[in-house]
Amino acid sequence: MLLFRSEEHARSWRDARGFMGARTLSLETGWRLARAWYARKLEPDWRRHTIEEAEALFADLGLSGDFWRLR
Amino acid sequence: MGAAGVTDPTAFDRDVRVTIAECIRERGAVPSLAEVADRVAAPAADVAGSFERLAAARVMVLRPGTTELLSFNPFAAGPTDFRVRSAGREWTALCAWDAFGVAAALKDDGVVRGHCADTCGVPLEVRLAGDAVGALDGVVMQFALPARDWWKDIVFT
Repeated sequence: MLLFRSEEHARSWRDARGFMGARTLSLETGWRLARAWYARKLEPDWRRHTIEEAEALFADLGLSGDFWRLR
Repeated sequence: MGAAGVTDPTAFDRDVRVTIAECIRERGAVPSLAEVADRVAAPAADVAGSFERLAAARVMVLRPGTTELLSFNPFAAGPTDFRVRSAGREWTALCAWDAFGVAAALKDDGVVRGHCADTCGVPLEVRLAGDAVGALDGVVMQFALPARDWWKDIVFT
């Protein structure tokens, strides 16, 4: 995932490379996603999210639709 | 003694994973295979086997063609385009999501520094503090690939 100065710059990048299905996120949603995904990574009892958990996590952040499906 | 010396791979892999996390917390750096082997008092070949299993399980990413860590996500093992200041240390990450994830995993605020990936390449700074995010107006993150394809090229995603 990359950073862009604006939606216009993100669109320019994806158009130039043919990633027409790319999705942008606000920084606030990205921060919430990072905290939900990685908060426990350094903990001894960490484990990977199951597919169901990951999709539920996306849904909680309003990330829905085919782009966010894992199966 | 080779990888066959590991009698309980699940328990050994957990020890290796926890040891990597301890190195990151204590030293502020992703460890080498040799450092992990030293800490868990196991032959390097056994730790290499564990690294390969953990990478296959998507716990971490190895440098192509090696058994050295590229990233114990979100913590990258070397210089990248994404730098993070968090918990009093400097870190690097493979992507913007991981850069945010460094502060998340350390349970601290952070300052992420990178560049616009478009041709302008303008430097960008994002401040993460509690629930708040500070940056130039309009800055966004972008996933190039859909979620189901992320691990086909986790560095690029």
